[in-house]
Amino acid sequence: MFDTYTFRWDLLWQARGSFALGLLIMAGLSVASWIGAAALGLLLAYASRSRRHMLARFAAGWVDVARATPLLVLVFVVYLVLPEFGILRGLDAGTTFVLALSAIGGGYICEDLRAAFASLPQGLADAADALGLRVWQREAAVILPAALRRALPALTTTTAGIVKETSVASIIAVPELTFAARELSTNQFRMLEGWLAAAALYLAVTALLGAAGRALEHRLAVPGPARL
Amino acid sequence: MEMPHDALFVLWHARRALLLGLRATLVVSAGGLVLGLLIGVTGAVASAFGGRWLRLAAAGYAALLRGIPVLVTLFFLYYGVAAALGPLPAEIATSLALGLFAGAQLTEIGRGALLSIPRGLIEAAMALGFSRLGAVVAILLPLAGRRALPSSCTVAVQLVKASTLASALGVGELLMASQQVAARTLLIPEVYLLVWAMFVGLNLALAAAGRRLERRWRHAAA
Repeated sequence: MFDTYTFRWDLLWQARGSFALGLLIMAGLSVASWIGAAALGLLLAYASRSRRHMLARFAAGWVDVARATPLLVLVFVVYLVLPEFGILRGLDAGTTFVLALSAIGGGYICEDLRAAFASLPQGLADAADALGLRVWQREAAVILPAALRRALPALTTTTAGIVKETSVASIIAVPELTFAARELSTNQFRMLEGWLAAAALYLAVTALLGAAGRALEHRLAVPGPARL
Repeated sequence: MEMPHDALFVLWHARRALLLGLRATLVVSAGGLVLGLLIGVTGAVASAFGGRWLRLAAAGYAALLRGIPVLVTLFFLYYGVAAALGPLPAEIATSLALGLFAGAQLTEIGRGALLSIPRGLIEAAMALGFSRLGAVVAILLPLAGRRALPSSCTVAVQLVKASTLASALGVGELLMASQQVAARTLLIPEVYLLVWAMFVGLNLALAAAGRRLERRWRHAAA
C-alpha cells in the first residue's frame, strides 16, 4: 500500500458524465419513491383514523413492519419472493427498488401524518361540521391543510431520508450517484475523489431539501396563537 | 413451495449459517452502538455546554454525518481509508460507519435531552459543593440519559437495519448469510421471508424495549 495519496481531480472531471447521470437517476428514484410513499402514507393515515378496527390495525401493522424492515431485505423480497407467488414478475432493478422504498417510506409518512392529525384540536372538525361542510369538504379544505402544515417538519426529514436511501440502489447495480462513485473507486482506483464528491453532493441535496422545507413552513405559517 | 415440511427441514439444517449471520449482525451493530454512544455523549455535552467553537464542531459533525447516506460513509471508510492508510477489514469499517452515524444521531438526541433539564439543577448541585463538571457528570448525564434512552433504541434499530448494507462489502451478516443459504438450497422465497421475519422480530423487540423504558422512566425523569 502507498503511504501518501495523490489527488487526481482530473479523473473525477473525466467521470463527470456518470456522476451527472447518477444525480439524475437519484432524482428520478427519489421523486418516484416519494410519490409512491406519499400516496401510500396518506391512505394509511386515513386508514389509521378509520372507525373500522381492521383497517386501523392494518395501518398500524404496516407502520411497525415498515419501520423494522431493512430496505435492502425488502428489495430482495420484492425481486425474488413476490414473483414466486405470481406477483410483479419481471420487474427491472429500478422499479423494484422504487416499490420497496415506497412501501417503507409510506410507513414513515403515515406516521408523520397520523401524529399531525392527532395533534389537531377536535374543535376544528366540529367547527367544520357546524358550518355544514360535507365530510370530503371538511377533510380537503380544513383538516388536511392544517395537518399537512403541522406535519411539514417531519415530512421534510422523511423526504431527506428517502433521498439518502436511494443510495442503496447502487447495491443492485442501479447506476445512481453512489454507483458512480463506487465505479470510480474500484475501476480507476481513485478511492477518495469519488467518495468526497458523492458525499458533498448528497450533503448539498439534503441541505437544500431542509432549507426548502423551512422556507415552505415559513411561507405557510398562519399568524396567531392557534398555529393551525 | 409444494412441500413446506421439506423446506422447514432444509432450513433447519441451514440454521447454523443463519445464526452465525445473526451473530455477525448483532456484533457489528453493537460495535457501532458502543462507538456511537461514546461519540454521542461527548458530542451532546459539547453542543449543550461547550463554548462557541465546540458547539459549532458538534453541530457540524452531526449535520455532516446525518446528511450523508450511511452506505456512502461505509464505502468512503472502506475504500478511502484503505487508500490513504492501508486496508481496513470490512467488519471494522462497518462498525466505524455505523458508529459515526449513530454518534451524530445521539449527539442531536442527547443535546435535546440535556437542554430539557432545568439549569437550576446544576446551580443546586454547585451550591452543594459539586464542581461544574462534577454536576454535569453525576447529575445531568444520568437524568438526560434516561430521557435519551428510548430514542437510543430507535437508533439501535437504525443500526441493525443499516448493518445489512455491509453485505455489499462481503461481511457475513444475516442478509449475506441468507443469500448464501438461498443460493445453496434454492429455497429462495422461504429463506428471504425467514430472514425478513428475523429482522422485523429483532427490531420490533428493540423498539418494544424502548417503549418499555420510556414508560418505566417517564415519572422518574419528570
